[in-house]
Amino acid sequence: MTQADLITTPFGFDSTAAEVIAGIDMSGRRAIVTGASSGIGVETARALAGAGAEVTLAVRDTSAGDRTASEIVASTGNTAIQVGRLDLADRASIAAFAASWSGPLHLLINNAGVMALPDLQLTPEGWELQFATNHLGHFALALGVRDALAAAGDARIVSLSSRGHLRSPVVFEDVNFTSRPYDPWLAYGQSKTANILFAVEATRRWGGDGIAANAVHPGAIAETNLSRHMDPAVLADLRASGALKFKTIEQGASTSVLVASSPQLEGVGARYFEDCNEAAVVDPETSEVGLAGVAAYALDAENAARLWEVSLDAIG
Amino acid sequence: MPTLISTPFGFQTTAAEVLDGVDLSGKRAVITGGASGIGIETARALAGAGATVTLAVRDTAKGGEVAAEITRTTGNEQVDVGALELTDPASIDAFTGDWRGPLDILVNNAGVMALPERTLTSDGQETQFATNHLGHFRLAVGLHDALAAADGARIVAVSSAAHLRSPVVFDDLNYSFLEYDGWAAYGQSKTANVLFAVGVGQRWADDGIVANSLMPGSIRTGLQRHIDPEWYERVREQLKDVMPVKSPEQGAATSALLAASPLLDGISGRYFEDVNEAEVVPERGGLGGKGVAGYALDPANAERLWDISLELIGA
Repeated sequence: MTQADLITTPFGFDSTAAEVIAGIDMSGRRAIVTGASSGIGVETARALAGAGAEVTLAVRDTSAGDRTASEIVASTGNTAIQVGRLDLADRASIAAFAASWSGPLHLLINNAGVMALPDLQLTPEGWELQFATNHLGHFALALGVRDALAAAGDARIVSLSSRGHLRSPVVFEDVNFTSRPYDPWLAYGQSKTANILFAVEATRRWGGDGIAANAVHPGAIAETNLSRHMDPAVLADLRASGALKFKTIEQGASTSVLVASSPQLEGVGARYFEDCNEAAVVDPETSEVGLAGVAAYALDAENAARLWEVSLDAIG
Repeated sequence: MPTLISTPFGFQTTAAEVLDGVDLSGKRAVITGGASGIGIETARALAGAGATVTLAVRDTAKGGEVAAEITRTTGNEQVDVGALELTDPASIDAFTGDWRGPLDILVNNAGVMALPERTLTSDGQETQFATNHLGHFRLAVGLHDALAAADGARIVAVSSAAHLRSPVVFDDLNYSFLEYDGWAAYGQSKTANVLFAVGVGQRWADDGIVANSLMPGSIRTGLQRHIDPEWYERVREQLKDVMPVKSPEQGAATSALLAASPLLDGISGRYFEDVNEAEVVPERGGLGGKGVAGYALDPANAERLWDISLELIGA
């Protein structure tokens, strides 16, 4: 993909979720936002609700979800906000959530995530927990609501990835660190690459049903719970250093909301966005890796197909 | 997995013992890195069994001294030296271009380990992968016709238990994205050595060429030159029970088995340690872990590596 083919929008780093959705009418559209009771999930849900969408907050902690829902109702005046219990590391919870869904689903925002778990943790099925939560859980969820997405006719999936994907491809021969020494950021990076590959293959497989999936890097947002596994001192140093430009939560939700709602992106799939624009593929020979852009391995069709097969096996 | 090949030999066995009673006269062997460490002892054992041996080395002056010493200890005058720099395609091509006649035994023995910093060759390849795998791959491809011309040629790929530390990460061979780790990069290159032998089994069987790979053991040689000596002694202390140090003569034993023992006739694509075939293990285990990783014997991985390697050497 050449630079010229990239999708550009009038929005950028500073745009907020409310700005990118201004003037867009989402009434009649039904959305699920995972991890919607904290961080950018709240603001993503709020922006969609503010535009008239019916929003279900899919969360682990339903009492936190209820509080968020009430607060969104109060701030937007939209009363069509529900809460559903969803634990992405628990197969039964995902199955129950998907089974309870009825009617079409227009927007699935795979927003929940865990980052940089300090020690190697495996699910009962033996999968590394970041890969399991960030990728496999969302994969199982998407499969579970696939018919509802198809019923919408023009559904969109937003897969929250991260610039962290530049730290690692999916290492298919050792996804669970049985050989490689565990590294929290490597494992996070692998899971975030998987989020992009999922969007690539979901679009290929489900495009015929009008389902389009894209991946986004929301930006670095210091105020969310995602950084709870990081050493606070490290985080403080990072903020003080100015090496990384941080976003507010409202800015952090904008790329998700843009990809979920912009008429400009109708029918667009299998792409990766950051700062409200499609990102260029990183050439490691000519640019500093890690600062921006998308790795070729994360958009690779063969990798995407392989991950899908591995994931189907994994969720049985 | 068919039954594992087991031999009467083991941890303590030396290269000379493995080849006791084996007559290699009329056979021609090339050993990379044949002027140091287990390369010397591998060369000596083959020369001792009567083979004509070429030491393929960077430092030909040192190679000459080693060759003279091998001749002195074995009485075999057919030991010579060829210049070979595995990170330099022109050097490899000169070596293979100069080779005349059939080649019976190719021992891919040279290697670098745990380079502390990420370094790239002039072709942009990570140096351990480039030296340990790609250089030997280019060499083997260059010598293919000579190997095919022999009556049942054998290739020996010296790998390591360190292959358990990393599969070949096809999406990022050069650590352009992954954070560089000297041991992970070494592990990747050593997995590539195992996969290369599997690939030879897939591709060159009809030419009568077999290849197997091995873990020589833990031997104090020039290979450790990039390792902090204090760290090395500390790890050695921890390893002394699970993986005792071998002498270079013992360290060359598994190479000698794969190069020339009739016990291995017709065997290809397998991985050995302590002079016996190793079993597949599901995870790395701790320091001193044994066995071979499934990803290193995987035929699809072998095929993929072969194709990529052909591309990378511009063949």
